[in-house]
Amino acid sequence: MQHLKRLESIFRQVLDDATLVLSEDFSREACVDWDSVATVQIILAVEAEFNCRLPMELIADCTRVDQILAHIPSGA
Amino acid sequence: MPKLALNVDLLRLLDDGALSHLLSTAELTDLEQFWAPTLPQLTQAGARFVRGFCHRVEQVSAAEYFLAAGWLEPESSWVTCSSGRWIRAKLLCKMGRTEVALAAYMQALRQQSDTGEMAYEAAKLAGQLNQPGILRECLHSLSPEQMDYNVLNRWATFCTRCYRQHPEWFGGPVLRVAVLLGTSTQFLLPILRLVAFVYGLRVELFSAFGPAVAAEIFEPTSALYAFQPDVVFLGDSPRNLDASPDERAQLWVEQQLRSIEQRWAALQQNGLGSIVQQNYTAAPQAAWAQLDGADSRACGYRVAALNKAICERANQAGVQVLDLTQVQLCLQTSQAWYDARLWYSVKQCPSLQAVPALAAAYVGYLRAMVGLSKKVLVLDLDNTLWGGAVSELGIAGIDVGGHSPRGEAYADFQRYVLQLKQRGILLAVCSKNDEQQAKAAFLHQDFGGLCLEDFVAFTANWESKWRNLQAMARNLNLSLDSFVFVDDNPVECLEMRAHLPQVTVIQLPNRVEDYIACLERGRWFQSWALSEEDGLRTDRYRAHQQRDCLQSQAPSLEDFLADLGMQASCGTIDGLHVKRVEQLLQRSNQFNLNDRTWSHASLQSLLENTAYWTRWFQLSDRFGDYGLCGSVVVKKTASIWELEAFVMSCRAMGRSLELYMLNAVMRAARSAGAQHLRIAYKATAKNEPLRSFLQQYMQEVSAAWEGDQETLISTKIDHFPLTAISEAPVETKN
Repeated sequence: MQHLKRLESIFRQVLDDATLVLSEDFSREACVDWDSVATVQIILAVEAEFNCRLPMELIADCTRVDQILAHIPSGA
Repeated sequence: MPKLALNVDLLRLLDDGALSHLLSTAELTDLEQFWAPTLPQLTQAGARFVRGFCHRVEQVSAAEYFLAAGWLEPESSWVTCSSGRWIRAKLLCKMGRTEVALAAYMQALRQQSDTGEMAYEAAKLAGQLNQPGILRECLHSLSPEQMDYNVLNRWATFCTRCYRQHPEWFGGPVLRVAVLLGTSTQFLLPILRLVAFVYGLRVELFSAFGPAVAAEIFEPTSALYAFQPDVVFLGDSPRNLDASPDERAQLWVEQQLRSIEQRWAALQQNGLGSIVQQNYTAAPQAAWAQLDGADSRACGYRVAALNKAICERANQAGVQVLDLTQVQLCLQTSQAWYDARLWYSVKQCPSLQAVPALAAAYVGYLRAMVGLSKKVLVLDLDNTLWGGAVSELGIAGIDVGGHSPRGEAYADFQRYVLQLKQRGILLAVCSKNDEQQAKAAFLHQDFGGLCLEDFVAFTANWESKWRNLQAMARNLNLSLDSFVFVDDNPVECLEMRAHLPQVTVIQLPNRVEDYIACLERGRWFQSWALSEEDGLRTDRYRAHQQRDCLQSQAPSLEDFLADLGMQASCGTIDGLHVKRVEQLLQRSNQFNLNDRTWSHASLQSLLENTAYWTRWFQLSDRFGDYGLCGSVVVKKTASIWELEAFVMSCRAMGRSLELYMLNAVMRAARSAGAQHLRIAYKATAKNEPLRSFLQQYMQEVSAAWEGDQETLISTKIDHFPLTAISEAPVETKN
């Protein structure tokens, strides 16, 4: 839950939408501004926020929030 | 947790991040009693502190208290420091007092340097409040020093959205730009658009990457040609090169080059003449280790050979080469060029942190293309060209030359400035100093730096600098926006900005060793094409000043012009003159028919086209040569001649060369049997002088001047204005 809240603030900043509400099944189809450029921004911001390194495949293929959550170390 | 005793002297030793960390546990009473009054003393506080402070204020609901206690008033002690000004604006904004907040932001922005973050908040607020003028001011405040991709990308997202909704908010000329790369373009384009906005340009973008590039270029009905770009950028990453060591290096280079040249040729055949080709950066891997540059089978060797060949062929083909090594040199140490992960996942190269530098290089070309490049560099003296004040230390006391590290750096800065002069930038001095002493300092320099003859203007007095610069602009007959003013003193810089906002003001960094890099980063003096004229520019302006002296003594303008003994020569534009004509069309603003951009290829195609009549004009008088300073392009039909280009350098203004040129057109038209001359004039921000000239000599069509868009005027070819210029004797050619 804590992770989701922190992800939400990253998504809000990258997608420039202060009212965005994030859920685990939030996906690219549900959001026009979430394009491939935004994906890269999100992944890089997540890495900085959680001080971790996500796999390269996510940069190319991430389409849902739970894909990111699955890769964030639990103690981060 | 034991509570830390807060002590100002200790806090002053902490950096921005540590301060913001301390704030994160501050109680309401700490904020009220300690942090608020201490703020002006924490001069090291930066963006993180500001964010931390405002965040904590929100968490403990202290905003109302600060408002009630007067901290947010314009007279509060907070406005004496940069972080305090920013916090005040930010808190006012958070409390919904948007109008006051915007005023607070702008006050702060005009007083302090900013990393782009505060300006971003101000711009968003300005957008919210429908204040495009203020939004543009925020945008222009983004300095060339700002190279943080994340900050710029946030700006780019915001500006792209604004542009989509309110295109009228953004002024300036529109350029259609095609970016065709072997690598992904999606990260570059938003930043490119943003940097263009910062310099007052709007770009319409077209892009393709990977295999799609060839399809766009070689198919004449492609979307690229339908888009009709003004300029095309081409490039690729060495990661895409197949540097197979099986083939001989020379053969390999020829193959690569052929495919590049085929692209240029296809673009040019389809009418796209302004091409910028990136060269290749050194590859990220060097399997041949220390022999990578020396062994002809190695990638490093081949890339270097290919780059050299690209340069040679581009020169012949009229293509510009963007040297990525120069772009790499602009990067800060924290910004690596290659990012392997982004390459394998999204084919992005260079790394995101390097994207702003690349975008700035692109925009440098665009600025040169539309004539936004600067022409004059105005320099301060003390602590700019040498260390120390000459009026206090005397000539022997100032620090310049090879006696100390700082002296070396000042000498190098002078030599750099001298190189700018050699490629055509005019130099001037504007200093608060004793004139005799200031000039004497140059006579004693012996390290190959600047001397007095290198300057076209030299003012050293105790007047305010902006008045001096204004007079300088008048004397040189150049508009204020072609000046770059350089000073180490922030007060002088502020004053110049306040009085002459058109002048580009560069405040030098604290350390002399950073001067050159600081001046280079702005790309103020980039030019699209260089010609022989450039090296002679300073001499030409100095001759101009002698003429001014004569003019001030002459009883009348006619006497003066007659006294000058002017002679003009002219000829059809040919291979020898085309480069200078191209440059004239790009650089001249006051005597230019419209804002059409002439590409190298479109001019080149005129050379053999018999449907066109073209002329270059060169002027000289008893003080010297003005050089090639006028040009005309006319499209001929049986009864009508259409003037497509009519351009004259401002250095020939006031010499009636424009009349001589018009006269030449009229005579040629009459002898060809034409009855009418048609002129498509389009008002730009600066070409009013040409308009009044045409209006004066074509009175019968003055009704056509009402509209300010393109005006088609037509005149009968029957009168021939006279000038004091005589035809130069024809040189006999051997």
